[in-house]
Amino acid sequence: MISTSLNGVSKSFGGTPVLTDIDLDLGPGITGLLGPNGAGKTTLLRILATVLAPSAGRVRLLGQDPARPAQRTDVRRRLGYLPQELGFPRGFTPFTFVDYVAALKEWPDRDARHREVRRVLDLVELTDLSAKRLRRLSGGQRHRTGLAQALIGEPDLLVLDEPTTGVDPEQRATLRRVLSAAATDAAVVLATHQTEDVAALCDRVVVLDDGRIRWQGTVPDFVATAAGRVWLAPEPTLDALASWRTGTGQFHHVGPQPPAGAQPVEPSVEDAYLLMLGSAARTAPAVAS
Amino acid sequence: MNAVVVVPPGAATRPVLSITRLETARLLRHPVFVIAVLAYAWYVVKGAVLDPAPDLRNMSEDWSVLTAFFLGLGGFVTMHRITRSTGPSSEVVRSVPVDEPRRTLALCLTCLVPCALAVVSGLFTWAMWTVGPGGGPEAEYAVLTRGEIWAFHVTTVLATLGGPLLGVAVGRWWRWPMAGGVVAVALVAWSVSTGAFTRGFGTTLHHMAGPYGVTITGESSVQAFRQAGSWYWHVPYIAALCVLAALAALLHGATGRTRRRLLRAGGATVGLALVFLLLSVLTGPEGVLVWHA
Repeated sequence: MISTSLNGVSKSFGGTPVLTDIDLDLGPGITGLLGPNGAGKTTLLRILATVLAPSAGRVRLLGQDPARPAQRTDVRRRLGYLPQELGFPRGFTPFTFVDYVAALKEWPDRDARHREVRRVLDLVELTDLSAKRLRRLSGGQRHRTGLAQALIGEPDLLVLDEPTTGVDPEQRATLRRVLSAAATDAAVVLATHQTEDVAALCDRVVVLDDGRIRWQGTVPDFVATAAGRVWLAPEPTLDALASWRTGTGQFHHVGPQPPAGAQPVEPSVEDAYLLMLGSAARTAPAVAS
Repeated sequence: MNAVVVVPPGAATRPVLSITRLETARLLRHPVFVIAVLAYAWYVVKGAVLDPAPDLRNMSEDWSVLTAFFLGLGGFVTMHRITRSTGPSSEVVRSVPVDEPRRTLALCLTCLVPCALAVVSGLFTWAMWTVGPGGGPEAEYAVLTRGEIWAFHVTTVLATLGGPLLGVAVGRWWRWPMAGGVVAVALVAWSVSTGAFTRGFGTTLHHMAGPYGVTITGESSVQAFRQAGSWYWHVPYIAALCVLAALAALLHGATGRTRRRLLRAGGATVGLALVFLLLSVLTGPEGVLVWHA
């Protein structure tokens, strides 16, 4: 797998820094990007998608330098990108939209292009709706259309901004299967607020906060950072970093101190995330790998 | 996965042609264009076959105005809308290998569709006119030569190319709401303002500089006139305006060597357009004004 890496990458808009000194290496498999709103996830994905150039630092995508026009074009031939908010031209159907993007992705042969369009629409289970106007589809169906266009040509680098947002649980399971298959040989980067997606899909996780990488490593290592700080208690407590009722009627308690009568439980990605970015964690030194 | 990307010879142009086919299909299905073409076809057939005027010269003038309005202005509105339509998907469109100048080139090639329709309807109208009872174009256009009549009609056809091309350029450069509407109104106002009888350098320049204008008025008018200036030189001037519109559209998003080439070509075309305009103003015959009783 040809490398994709960012070294010392920074990005600012009008003097306001959005990303600062990002170092990142991406290989085959799925990397989940976690972080609060405004952390710089979308900006980072836009740089990976060649839509945005960094203000400073070095970017190598699939072994190419996207700052050079010819190499940028080569990267784009092997790139799939689903932006956070994808709108559609009026009058398009899923088929015509994906067909249009396929033409823009240099699929000039009509028959081959149509076969590919049907393949990706089938992957996201939109075949039956492929001739329906996009504006008449649900948000989740439109979102899957966006994902379908990103999958055209089995890209080597797949950049997805919140790919499962607005998708029902059943479809989410389908998309997880599709993305897992796509990641067999490709580098997949996805930003999400769904920590369960990270647990179910990702090999690695990167936590962004305030434009900086706060943590990066494997998902098990990330979850391990929360070990010994997650509890199941009969009553809620006010001093917890986060606490919520579970299906058993007990309270899931995330925080440094166990409440009365609490039992320790296995932490999840969400627990680790909350602990890392919660107010208590902000005062403590970050755990990094 | 990880397939080696092999770019075959001709790969740079084939995507443009395939995108052109898709854009052409969008143009032909666009409600504005469909309505414009249907209305245009109805008026042309009505004027030439169903209900021809006794003086077929009116048919020629009607053809010119109808063509410029429905195909030129209608093409402008439609191509402007098609150009702007991918705005909501701009994040995806900016991440594809076909860059903006090549996408714009596909849109510019699509603009040949209204022009082709104008050529077909022009040939049809001309044929109806030639076999009509009036004796043909030269006999009825007493103040124009056959060549000048052709030149007048060619500028009309060029207006159906220039209008859509301008729609693409405006769509690329002006993102503010109603930009297309404002330019459409300005185009019509400019064209109408050139319709008065020209006398002297100033009025002839104003008339010849317009993107579209009729050279004569019909017999039904109180006054009939032939505008001053050379209609032969007016043809390359209008053609230069078409090229300028295409170059302006292509310039958006162009970088490096492509941008430099487009700017050089644009500068040369502006120079040529000015030369053609001056020649069309200075070398033509005087205007002819005929008052009817």
